[in-house]
Amino acid sequence: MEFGPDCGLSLLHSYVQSVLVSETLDASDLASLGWELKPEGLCQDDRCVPLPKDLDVSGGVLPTEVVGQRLGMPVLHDADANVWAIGPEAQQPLLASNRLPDLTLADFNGNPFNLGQLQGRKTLLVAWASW
Amino acid sequence: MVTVSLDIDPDAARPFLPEGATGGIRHLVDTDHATTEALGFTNVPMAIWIDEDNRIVRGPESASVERSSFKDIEIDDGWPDRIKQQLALAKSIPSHPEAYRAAIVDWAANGANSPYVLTEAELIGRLDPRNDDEAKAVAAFELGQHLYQRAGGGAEGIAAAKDWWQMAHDLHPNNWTYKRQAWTLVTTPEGKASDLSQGPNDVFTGNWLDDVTANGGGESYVTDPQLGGSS
Repeated sequence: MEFGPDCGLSLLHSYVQSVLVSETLDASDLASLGWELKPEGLCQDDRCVPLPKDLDVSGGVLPTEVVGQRLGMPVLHDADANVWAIGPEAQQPLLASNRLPDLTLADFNGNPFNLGQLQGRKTLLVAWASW
Repeated sequence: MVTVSLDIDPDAARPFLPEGATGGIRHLVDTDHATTEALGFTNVPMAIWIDEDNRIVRGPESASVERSSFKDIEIDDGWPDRIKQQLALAKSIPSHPEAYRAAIVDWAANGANSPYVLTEAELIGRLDPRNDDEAKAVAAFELGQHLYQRAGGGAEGIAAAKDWWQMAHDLHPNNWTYKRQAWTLVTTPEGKASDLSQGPNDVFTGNWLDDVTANGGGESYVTDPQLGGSS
């Protein structure tokens, strides 16, 4: 089977927030993005994207820019602060399904609350701001 | 019901929270705008409906449940031109509070049988994929958020974040959560309540009146709920 960004396989992925990272990504970073390094390349569910053949992946650490380029995720770098951010994949549906994304927010006392805890009741979730 | 404040500084939102018992309403704060990225909020107030199985059955869409007080303000000819223009624009923003409220009540009573519940295909079909610029805007905004918070907010935070936030504004001009927060931060005197006029400033290139006008006016400022029932 041919793999690649346009292989036509259905995509089911959980929500991944734009992530602040470093110049390289390790397995944990990739997992936070919803991807995993396998012999076939970078894989998510049943989709795999091959990496450049000359890229050394033996240490399990990948250049952030290469990952972004292969996955269609924008990569930005603030040189002064030496902070990198990798954004969501472009040209993908905002929601792949109607399943509520796995999100954990905080209440105003700093206590975490995972939206999955809403299960069992109808919920109207309203975004607002002081501005 | 769950409310999510998109304030980067929770203390700015805290005065608006009800005192005492919350009547079963849970109040959360999203300083990183994770919900704008995950759920597609581009302005406030916006909402999604979530059923008992944690499935999204409506939204993201504008969520007015009360008539805007702006619509009842009479514009005085003696006011400065920008004030008159800003108020006229605010009055032109479409909203359907009674219809939206009735839809919520219908859903609460009828659940999956409500005509306002969307199928998965209808829900996804109403959402445009994030284009290249919008994806980049997410990363730019998040960088700015991080640098603002790392600098401890205030003037130093704005100095650290402003270029990335400006990039996010430019790349995703119709994401008003990016813009409104930034404008309020730079036009609000320290220690004062949020300045909601979001007028011209010397930090960002945009402001509320000129940007809303340039991006299609009042109708483009909101995501109409399209309450025709299931399409």
